[in-house]
Amino acid sequence: MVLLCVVSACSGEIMERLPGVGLGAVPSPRGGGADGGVGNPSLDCTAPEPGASPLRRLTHAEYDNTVRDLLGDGTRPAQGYAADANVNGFDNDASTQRVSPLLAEQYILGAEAVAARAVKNLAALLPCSSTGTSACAQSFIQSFGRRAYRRPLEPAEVTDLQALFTAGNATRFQVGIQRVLEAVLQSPSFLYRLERDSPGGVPGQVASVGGYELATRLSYFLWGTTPDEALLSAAEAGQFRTAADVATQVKRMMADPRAHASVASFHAEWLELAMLDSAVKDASFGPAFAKLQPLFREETRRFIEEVVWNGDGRLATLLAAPFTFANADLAVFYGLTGVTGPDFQKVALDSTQRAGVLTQGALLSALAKPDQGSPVQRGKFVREQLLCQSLPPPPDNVNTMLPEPGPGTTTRQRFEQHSSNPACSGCHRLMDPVGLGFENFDAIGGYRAAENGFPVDASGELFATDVDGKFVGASKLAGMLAQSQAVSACVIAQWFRYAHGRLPTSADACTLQALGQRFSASGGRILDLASDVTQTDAFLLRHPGGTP
Amino acid sequence: MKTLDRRTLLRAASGVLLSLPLLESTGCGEPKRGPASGSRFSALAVPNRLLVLWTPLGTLPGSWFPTGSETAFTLGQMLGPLAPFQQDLLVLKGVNMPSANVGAGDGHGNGIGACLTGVQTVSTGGTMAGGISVDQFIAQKVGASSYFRSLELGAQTYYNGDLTYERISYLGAAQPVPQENDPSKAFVRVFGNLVPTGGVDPLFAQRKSVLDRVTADYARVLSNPGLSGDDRQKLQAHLQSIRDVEVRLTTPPIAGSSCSKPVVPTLDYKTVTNFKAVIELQMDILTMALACNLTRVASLMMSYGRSLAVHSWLDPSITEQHHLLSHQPSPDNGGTPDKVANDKFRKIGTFYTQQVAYLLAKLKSIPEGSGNVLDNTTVFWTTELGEPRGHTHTNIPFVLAGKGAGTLRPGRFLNYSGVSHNNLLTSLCQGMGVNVSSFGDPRFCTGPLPGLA
Repeated sequence: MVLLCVVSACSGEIMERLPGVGLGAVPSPRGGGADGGVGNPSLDCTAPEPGASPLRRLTHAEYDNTVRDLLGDGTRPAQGYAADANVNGFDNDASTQRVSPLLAEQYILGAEAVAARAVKNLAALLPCSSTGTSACAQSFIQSFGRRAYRRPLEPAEVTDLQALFTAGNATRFQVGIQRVLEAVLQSPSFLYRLERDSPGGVPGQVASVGGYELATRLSYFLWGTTPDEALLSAAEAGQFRTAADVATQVKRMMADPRAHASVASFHAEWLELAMLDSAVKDASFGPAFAKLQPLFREETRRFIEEVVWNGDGRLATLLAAPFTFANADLAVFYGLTGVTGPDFQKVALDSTQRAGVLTQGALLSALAKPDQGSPVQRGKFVREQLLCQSLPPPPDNVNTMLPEPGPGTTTRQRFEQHSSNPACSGCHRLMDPVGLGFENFDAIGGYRAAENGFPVDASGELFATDVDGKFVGASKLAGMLAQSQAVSACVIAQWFRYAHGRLPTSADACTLQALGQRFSASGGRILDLASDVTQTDAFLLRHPGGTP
Repeated sequence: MKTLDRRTLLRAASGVLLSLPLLESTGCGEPKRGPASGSRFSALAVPNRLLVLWTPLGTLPGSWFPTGSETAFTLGQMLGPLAPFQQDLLVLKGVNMPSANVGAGDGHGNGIGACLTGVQTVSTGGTMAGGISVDQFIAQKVGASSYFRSLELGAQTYYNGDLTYERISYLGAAQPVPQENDPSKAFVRVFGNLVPTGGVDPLFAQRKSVLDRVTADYARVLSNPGLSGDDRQKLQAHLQSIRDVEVRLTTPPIAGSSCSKPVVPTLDYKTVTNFKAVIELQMDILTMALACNLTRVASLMMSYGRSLAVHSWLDPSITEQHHLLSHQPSPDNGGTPDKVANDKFRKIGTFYTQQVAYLLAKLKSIPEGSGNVLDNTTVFWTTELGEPRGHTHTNIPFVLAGKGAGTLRPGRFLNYSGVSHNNLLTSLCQGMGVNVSSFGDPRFCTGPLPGLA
């Protein structure tokens, strides 16, 4: 029943990722950069090293955006497909993208439905005014194929699509076009981001990513969708030769609304904001939560948008800002005065109570149970999503449920079991002292100074980080995390995952170190980090075949 | 409303509906070789089918297992709703899941990963099953001539995309098979292609011509020698998945003799207040998919591993997550029982039993040969845990129902006093005509479970 090995398992695992241990060590399975972004003098970065580039399928969100941008079809058909796997928040992990028979069927039927909708407006679809000719169809196959495959078609591909058109055209011109669309939307060249080895590359040697492939990488990373004409034209014109060429495109792309959507998606996945949508509260909190849930969602969306795009853009601000966004109803819930009406506005927080995204209702109510806050979930979230530390699951045959809150107890008292039982304490000493710092917040993130008649004790402690120390309350914790190099390194690793669809490995040590140094030099600006990701070996180079 | 209407059932019972003209009027035809029907699907002579049911969180053993002898027994409280079907059941006791005691995940994840695979879980970021599940294994062996090699349906199995807890079926290690959770979509998928007898949907020929080009496209990409092994596998798996579905998507189905489409209204299939309705609709669809001989292997997953569902729709006093209720002290696990929580947990468990009873009633209501569909079906009800507070993987509350086309002799309570469930999985294979002597991790398998027939 009492499993002492757990203690050492947990502490051993986390020690591997302590700042300063060195990036050459085994990388964290959660993708943490272990050196806190400060650089490891023993790391040899003279040889270029992009790491692996596994084949990536479009995520369902990318598929929907792509269909929208190619065909003006905003129905988001893939939302009804078998869901992409969520790996620690992210839905783009290349290792999980295997297509089951059900999903294959959904791609087939989905392509048919999208094509049927598209040919209802042939005039908008076709590049030629004279519809009904086979020359027009030929031109459509070339131009649409280039956009859908994100490269010019090969002669054999044109021949195949032409044959489909001809067969359908025997019925009606529109049917021919429809068949072409159906085939294109099911092609591996559409559904997957195939990257070809550059001609003339030397086997075994790292090579530049090709122009069309770079356009595709950039577009799905920064826009979550297919490349636009400017990107494809630049690729065609050979204007993707240098990192500076890429930077020129990045600058243009960052000014587009699609970049805002992609940055918002990154934060939603990293912070696992979808948990808010499936949170369930009990009868005592349910009615209030039903009203607040959409407000929480809007608050956090606006807050991230403001900090990243309009404010100082710093990660530290995201984590510890003394302001948020609220309308009248949300302001009342937060105990803030002076806000009227249904529109959201920027408001100053009482910084003794709240600071930064961790203290917003979205995360506080998601990291909670139906009837009470959850110090374990809150502590685990900080360890895993902000510090990229991995915590093993609780051992079997240990009761993981703590006593229900009684009239005479506080949450903190109930959690003392975790520190007194050695089967639990190995890991819970990492989670609970962090999560108990949020004790001022109830099941839906409401502030409380007392619980069951006892004053709330929101004291906590951070250790096994680079900002160790005791603290009282979530605002103080947020301030410590905002200063942490380990948190910066973790967020860099999260951006790496978002960009590359895989966890960083030891092969990516130099890429991560370079990003860490630039991030530090920029004062921790998130948009600079997103741009810098496109300037690394991992982004610009690849191994032949994609594997080191 | 959502089921075969009463009149239809009465007519079915009197045999009138089963004459062809009436069948056509429900849109479901007898096998006929129409112009496009170089069909490879043949109506099977009353085969055995496997129907897997999965519900979360184990049971309270003291409120579950029968008392009495093999043939004269009284069901436990939580199995109560199955009393009218006692002669259709094989209630198993003393069957353990040792493959779940090892593995990379927590007690719930290891249990859900092992329950159909009999192998330990593997770590993939989360954890997933480490091998092929018994339903998929059997489907690969016997499903080639079925319209659907297998059918996977679910009821509210979504948990933020965390596949550790959302999947029971696997094609291999870390290759989960998703379920369709929306009854409307499931209905279209299962019955949408059923065309009036002799009719041929021109869509099929068109789709075939496109799929031929698409598969040629995959072959072209796969011919590139520069693809890495992993990338190649990924594309090959996709191509294989297309091949798995393309014949069905390009050929009209041939229906069995007791076939009529269920009525499936559109409903909000995600909201917990519709949980029962969704389960019943999915059971209606599965029942008719079997009766129509559209598949021989199917599963229904209800909720997800370590379910956090709050079933207050069932009883307003239930305000806690099912998971939380499962872990309270009870007479089954020592400590001072939390009677209120135990009662709520029993209530939820009893609800699931009622749903199983609903399914059995459906299967029995449809005549087939000299008996009914249940006679030619093996219903296998499984879960992730034994007793949940301790996350135990011993004494799993397995229930079998049906005669399995003569491979099961129901109406009995069998106590095995500690045998591995790999043996049970082996028996399921053999009952479906797949003659293996072991299934899953061989360390945990000593051959089929004796005494089922």
